[in-house]
Amino acid sequence: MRKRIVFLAVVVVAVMAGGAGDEKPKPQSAPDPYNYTDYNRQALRSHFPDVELLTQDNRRVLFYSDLIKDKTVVIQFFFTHCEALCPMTTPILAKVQQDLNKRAQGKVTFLSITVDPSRDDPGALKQYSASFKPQPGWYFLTGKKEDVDLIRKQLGVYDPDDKKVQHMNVLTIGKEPSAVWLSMEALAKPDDIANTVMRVLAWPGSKSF
Amino acid sequence: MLNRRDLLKAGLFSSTAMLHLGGARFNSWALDGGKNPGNPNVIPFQASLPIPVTKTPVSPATLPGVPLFNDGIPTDYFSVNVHQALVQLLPGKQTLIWGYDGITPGPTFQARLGRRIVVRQTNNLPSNMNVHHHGGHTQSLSDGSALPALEIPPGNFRDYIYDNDDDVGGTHWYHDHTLDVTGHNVFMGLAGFYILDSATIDNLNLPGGPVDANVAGGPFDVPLVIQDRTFDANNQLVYNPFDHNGFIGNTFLINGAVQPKLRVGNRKYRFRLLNGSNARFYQISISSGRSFQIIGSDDGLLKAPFEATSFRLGPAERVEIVVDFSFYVPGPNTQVFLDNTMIQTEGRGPDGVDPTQPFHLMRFDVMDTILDNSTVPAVLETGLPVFNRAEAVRRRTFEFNRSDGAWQVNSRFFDPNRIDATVKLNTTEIWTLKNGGGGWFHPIHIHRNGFFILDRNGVRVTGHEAGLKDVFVLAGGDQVNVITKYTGAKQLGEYVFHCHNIEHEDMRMMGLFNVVA
Repeated sequence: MRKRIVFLAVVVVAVMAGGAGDEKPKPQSAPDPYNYTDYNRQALRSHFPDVELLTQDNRRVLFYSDLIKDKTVVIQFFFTHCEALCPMTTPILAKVQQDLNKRAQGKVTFLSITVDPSRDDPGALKQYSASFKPQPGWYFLTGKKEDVDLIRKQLGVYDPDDKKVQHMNVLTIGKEPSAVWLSMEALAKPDDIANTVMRVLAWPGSKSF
Repeated sequence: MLNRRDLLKAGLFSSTAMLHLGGARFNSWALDGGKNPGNPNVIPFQASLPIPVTKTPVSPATLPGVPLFNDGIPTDYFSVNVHQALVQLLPGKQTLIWGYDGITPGPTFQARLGRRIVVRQTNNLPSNMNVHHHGGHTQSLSDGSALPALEIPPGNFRDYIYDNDDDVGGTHWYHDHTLDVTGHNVFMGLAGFYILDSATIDNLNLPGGPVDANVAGGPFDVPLVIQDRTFDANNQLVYNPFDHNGFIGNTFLINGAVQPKLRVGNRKYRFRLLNGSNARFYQISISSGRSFQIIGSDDGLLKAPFEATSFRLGPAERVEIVVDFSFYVPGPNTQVFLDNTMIQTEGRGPDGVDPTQPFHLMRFDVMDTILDNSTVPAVLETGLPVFNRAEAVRRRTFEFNRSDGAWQVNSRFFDPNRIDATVKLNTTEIWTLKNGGGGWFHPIHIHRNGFFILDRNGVRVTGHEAGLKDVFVLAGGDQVNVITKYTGAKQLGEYVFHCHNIEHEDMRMMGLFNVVA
């Protein structure tokens, strides 16, 4: 008979103050290490810094809370002035989105994040994206350079060996609620990418051990 | 600017310094500093070396729908339940692992040449999985390669048929091979031994063989899988799926226990070493500096034993050795260590061998006086296949390189719908495996067949590398020529070949070949 050790740390911070603008802090419990999915979702959060980004419609969003949490995502890095790989990659993603909207309507979020935020403001993103006719659920994103670079580092796509743009042409694909993440090259065939996303969509979670 | 060699000589060995040499490098997630870092929470040599249990066969009647045969070939049936489990690896909290039958390493399959086995693998993990018999001459549909069509979703099972019609017996292993997530699945514990024995090998009277059947104090034939891992503050295995360079850990497990000890007697032992790490390379030696006999490589025994004091063991390679402890006086303080002297601080590849800084992977306590009738004959395996260079009908070149930050074979990424080589049954081919360079190491694994290395960079190879192999280490700039013959009419269809740095493999550093009649 296996013993089950349950690990629960409950942190409750009570703030008693009279001010009207005080926030009520939520009680936090650490995830059970013996629930693989819950524990790994929490452990992987550091790879998705909750930094503020701007969409092509000039909306403010938080990277983890609004774009990653509870979602299945495909993440691309690009810049509007790219002449080499992005002109090939973004059309591939457009095809992938069309395909997935037939097979799993609205279930997949696409994130295209600029690696050149100083030049790519929301207006530039809007103009760039228009030519690919993105369907709803595809966000083109910019933000502060240090925030975007942090995301790139945490996702393992910041490539110091690449002297020009320091950029790996890789798609990050994952289903946050199942804590499953993988990468594949951005220049794969659209149906290869779509099939991979469908596999990820079907990934299960786990009950507590 | 100091280079690595200068630092090594000066004895200044900080991993932080190493990582920043030659420009910024993406820091491998789990590093802990130090040349051969260990986990500060580990007290080594507390646990006894676990010997994975041997799988016992079941009646096929208990496996409804399992393939049955009427061709007269003796067949054994096995059933494996793949599920999560808790194990006590470190002081404090138990660690959640994924295991074949809930153990890691998984149970050992003891198979015999010419005797078929069927294994039903039932998936009770929160993930897709499959099972690759690494080293096996396996039918395509049972090879468990990365093709998504071969995956087992949770709650389902798959029956794997292993004909065991290889040319020779050897030390194989089995592990997960699910496309894009193999590094994670193997890291969580999905690996085990598959030992293929034969009458030829039995008759050699090697340690632990039939000659030792009635000798107490064993086992004298011991599989040893080396795996490096990193545990978080709660003793859990948390994999970083965003590090594509290669996972390097700071805690070393042998047969699933952290730096264990094994009580031995003053006689010969056969050790089957397997590098089960995702990306780490080892340089193996015995602490006393005494030589041992290398008797086997990936896919079988050598023609003759090769005396050595040290060898490199790349990811997924197997090397069999016989260590003779009769040179030591048995007693409570007679301790001999299995050492690693390969410094490696990042997934790109090993930094180099530093014999002045051995890391003790496990300890042998030579305490007993035990009878030894085992031998290491001058002639080992007589059944090795002969591949004739003059008969080669095709030469192919595969270059493994890095492009746009991801991994390629001949400038392309793996596409499960694209065949990269069509090979004809019963023909001989020579493959040239080239490493594009950049300081990256790539241990290349080819499914289905054993090969011989003709040369590495124009130089003949020695030691275990001269044996029958299925993993070929390419250091930066290396070019290795390998030869095989595609025998076996049962083994038609698609197979993969790929880098066995599993993080590279997961980035599709892989190709597909098709064997046709």
